[in-house]
Amino acid sequence: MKTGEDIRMGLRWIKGRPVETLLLIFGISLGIGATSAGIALAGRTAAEARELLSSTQYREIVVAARESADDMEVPAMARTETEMIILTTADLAAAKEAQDVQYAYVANRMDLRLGSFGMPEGGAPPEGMPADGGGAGGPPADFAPPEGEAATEEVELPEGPQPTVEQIMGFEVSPEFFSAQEMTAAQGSLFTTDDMTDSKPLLVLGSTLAQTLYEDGQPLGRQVLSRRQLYTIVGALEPTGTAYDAMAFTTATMVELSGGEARARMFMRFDSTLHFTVADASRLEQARAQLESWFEGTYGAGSVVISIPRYAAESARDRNGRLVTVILLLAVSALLIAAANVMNILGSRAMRKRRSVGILKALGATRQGVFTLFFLEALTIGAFGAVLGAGFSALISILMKETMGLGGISPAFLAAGIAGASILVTALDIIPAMQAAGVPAAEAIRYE
Amino acid sequence: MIKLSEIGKSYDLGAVKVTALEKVSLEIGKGEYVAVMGPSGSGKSTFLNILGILERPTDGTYELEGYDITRLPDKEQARIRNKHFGFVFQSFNLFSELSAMENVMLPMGYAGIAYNARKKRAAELLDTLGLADRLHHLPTMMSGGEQQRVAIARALANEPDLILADEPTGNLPSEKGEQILEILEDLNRQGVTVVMVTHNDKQGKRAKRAIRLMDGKLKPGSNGDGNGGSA
Repeated sequence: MKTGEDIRMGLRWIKGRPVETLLLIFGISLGIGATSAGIALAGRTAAEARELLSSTQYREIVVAARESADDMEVPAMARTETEMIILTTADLAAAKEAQDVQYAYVANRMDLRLGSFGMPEGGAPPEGMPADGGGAGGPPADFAPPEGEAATEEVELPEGPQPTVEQIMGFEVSPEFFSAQEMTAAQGSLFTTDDMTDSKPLLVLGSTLAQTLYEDGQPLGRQVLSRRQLYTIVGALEPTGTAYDAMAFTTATMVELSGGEARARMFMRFDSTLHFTVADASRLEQARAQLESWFEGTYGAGSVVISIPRYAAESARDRNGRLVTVILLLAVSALLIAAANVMNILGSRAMRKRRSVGILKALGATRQGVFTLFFLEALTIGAFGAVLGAGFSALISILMKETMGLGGISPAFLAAGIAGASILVTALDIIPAMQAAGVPAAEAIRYE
Repeated sequence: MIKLSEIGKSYDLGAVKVTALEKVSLEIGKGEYVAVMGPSGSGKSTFLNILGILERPTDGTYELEGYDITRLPDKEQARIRNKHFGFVFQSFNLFSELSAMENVMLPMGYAGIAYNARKKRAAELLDTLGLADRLHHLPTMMSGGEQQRVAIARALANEPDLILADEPTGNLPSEKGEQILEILEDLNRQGVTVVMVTHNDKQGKRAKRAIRLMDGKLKPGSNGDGNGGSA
């Protein structure tokens, strides 16, 4: 018999037992759906972890003063300036001693209230309280203005269009920040080291913020008022696809002194978190040792906290990997149970059809012919299950996106999952088909 | 045409060994009409299954047209069953999912005959057997006699040399059974060899020759030529 006729015969058999067939198809589709979604989730998690760890953020060593690192534990008013170790831009010089460091920069969180928002009436805020509301984890605001500046000098709002938002968040950075983050200017320019020594504060906007800060989408050259200073917008960045797109970046204050002198003279406002980026993540430990040596030599042992964010990310990745493995195992188990169930039902179906097998053999069917017939029947059921399973997969991936925010499930992984699961079901379908083909003809004909 | 030499068949049922056939030797010539008779459990069906190579004998040799076919591979045995033998069973054994015509077309499919040729021959055969108006009926929509005629049409599909009928009238009322016997006798007159298992003496007597089995052995004196009734 030709394959087409075998399939037609199989379809007739399927039609003869619709409920059993539907249950088989449903079982297969659930197994395939769960497995392919699990594989897609595992694939996505692995790809995301790879992408995340390849970003510059996870090739960094972060150095902070011990007190700054511990300041969550100590009330702000309990600290005194003289007791604190102040890290400044001058300490970026440590990079010169660490051959593995590629970039060194300062990045302090900032939070700018624009215009007159957040300013108490009648001038400066009370001592110890930030004028702009401060930023979480960031340095205190500039209630202590730079030396030589008149604290009471009033700055007027610039003329022309005003920003559409009351507040922008971002970082005070040194110029190498942009190189380290592989950020480039889409319009205007980025900061230079000279800009850091200049008293005029500058702003570079992330791509999204650049488009939304003004209604006309033209921020370049305009000034915004915050912290009683006028910030001039000098550049807008190319999109990065990260949170940086909605942020603004201003110049960190350049401090020439370091070590003991800084300890004695600097104010808290200059305290910075220092970032050192290496070109190759495998050199992180060496670079850390080199930096540790420099900071211990400068400030004494234990005065700074040196951390490597990559380790926490790797730990999270490993934890997620284990979690996804468990999910995947559960999904594969579901598939195996479904496939075994299908195998059993098809096996019992083949046994019920023993008589038909005997008749077919009497009419001239070979063992191979009987196998083909039963296998094609199983394959047809499997194919319907795979199609429905693909639908389940798509549904599960949509649900994951909607409920857990797990977007970006790769269709390739879904397809691989469906293919792999279908192959497994097909492989298990061979067994009942072989059982049917192996039934002795005379015994089968006698079977009632 | 057929030569059986000391054919034996036994089944191992754990500790017990059951002998179904023992040293059966017999020749069946072309165009013969042979009735195989004997009480239940005498080995008639086993004998017919071995004759139709649905079952392998445990002892002896089976020659068809001078060739020993006892140990042929599955594929070759299937080809012989398909091309040379036609089976008619007591309970018809039609596929309930297939129409009368599709049932008849089935063995022709295994013979590799083209679809349209199969369809034409199936319609002709069913027409010859008086089932022209039942071509597309499912077996469940037909009477027992009609179903058995479909089964005979199916057995004749590949123009076999030998029809093996296992109690073909056993499930039919006498009038319908008579029709079936007449069809088989008519086929025999056309030159087709017929071997029919029956325990009906009357039917046995209508065969040209009858062989009798008792406890798996050929009953002495039952292997001769001549009228079944004289056996």
